[in-house]
Amino acid sequence: MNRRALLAALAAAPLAVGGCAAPQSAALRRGGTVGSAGGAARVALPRTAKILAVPFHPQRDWECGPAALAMAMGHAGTAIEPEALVPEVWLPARRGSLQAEMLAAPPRRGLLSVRLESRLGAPLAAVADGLPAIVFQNLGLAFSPVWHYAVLIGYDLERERVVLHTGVDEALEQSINLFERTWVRAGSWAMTVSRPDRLPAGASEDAITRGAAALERAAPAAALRTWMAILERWPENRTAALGLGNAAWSSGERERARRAWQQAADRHPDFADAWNNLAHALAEGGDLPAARKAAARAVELGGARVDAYRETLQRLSH
Amino acid sequence: MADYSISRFLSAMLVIVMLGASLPAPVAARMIGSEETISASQADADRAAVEGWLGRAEVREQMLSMGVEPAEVDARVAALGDAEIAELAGRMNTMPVGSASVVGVLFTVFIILLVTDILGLTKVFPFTRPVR
Repeated sequence: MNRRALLAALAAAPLAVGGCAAPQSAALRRGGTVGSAGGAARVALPRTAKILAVPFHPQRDWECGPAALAMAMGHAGTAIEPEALVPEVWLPARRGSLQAEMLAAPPRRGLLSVRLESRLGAPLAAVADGLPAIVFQNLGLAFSPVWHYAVLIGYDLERERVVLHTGVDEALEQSINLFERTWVRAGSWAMTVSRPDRLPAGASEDAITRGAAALERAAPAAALRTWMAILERWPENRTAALGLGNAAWSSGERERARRAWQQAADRHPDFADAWNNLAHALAEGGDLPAARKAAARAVELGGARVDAYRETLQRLSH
Repeated sequence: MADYSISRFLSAMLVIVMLGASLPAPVAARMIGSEETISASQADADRAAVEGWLGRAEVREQMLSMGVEPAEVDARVAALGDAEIAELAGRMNTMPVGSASVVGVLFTVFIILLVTDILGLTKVFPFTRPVR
């Protein structure tokens, strides 16, 4: 038993003694929504949910990050051992994993990772929708933190329980009030990992769009499917309309990229970025007059990136 | 000492060469990237791009000094977006990392369950008697 663990235990005791209801848990039990950000209409949470098919990997010392990722990625269809992820998300000197790197790892294997909203209902909604949520907890207290990643695989609002794959415990039941406190204490951070075309519940349009952009950076061909799924759910999403073309272009599908940017420009005639990229695709395809016209349209619309459009037009004019 | 200053000189040269190689020309005929359209404003996007660009070398150095395999460092840095790089640069030593030891997690959970048992919220251990 090391000193840190002892401190953690001592720190956890008062937290457990305050075993009365935590605010978000209580509101969820009453059936309300909590800390609603964005104001989008939200469907009520089912009273209970559990995902049975989440593979379990017990963690080795301090390697809760790779273990949590391996479980979530396994559920998304990419079977992997935690050890294989250690070189990708583990900082030896800190003996742990950064949140930014937890989010960055799945795209390297063609999977979509999305940061969920910072309300307790968000990871629960993801689970109810069938995706396990990686949750960040502080099992200790602010002055003696014990940072920990676990995987939320179920909850029961009636019995006030959550179910976690955590540490070396498979499907451990924990009080939802305790869970809320340890989760909020670590900054209310949760993420999902899924196949590229599977968008999680409990995440904002903006967060999903950022997830798609991160996937495009690492695996453009996979991101194509994410941009399509986003456009299906939010047809007006401009980043996705542009991104569909960008991802196609990066994966070598030039004609498909041209069509995507054409569609983006048709749907949003004032979308200068789409006209600019379309100009490049048209030029590549040999249609210089149309390319110049598209570039001129982008310059005419102007905006923050007008210098780039001007340069596009200039290059086409020579 | 001489070796040290030579390596200092070489790394400074390397930085200058890398700066020159990877700095985008101020106006280049280019595609607009998906990420550029996400930020609330172009100023935010520009700042993230500049900070991200400046931060990449720093985050790379930090990762190396924190024991990440040299072969992995570039892929890890490349997987991060400009916004994440800007967030990490200079703060990698202090940002929370998920790192509970097995014993720490086990023991914490044990104490939590013990106390919730005593409070009558759970019933895991045969030897506890709830207070209510």
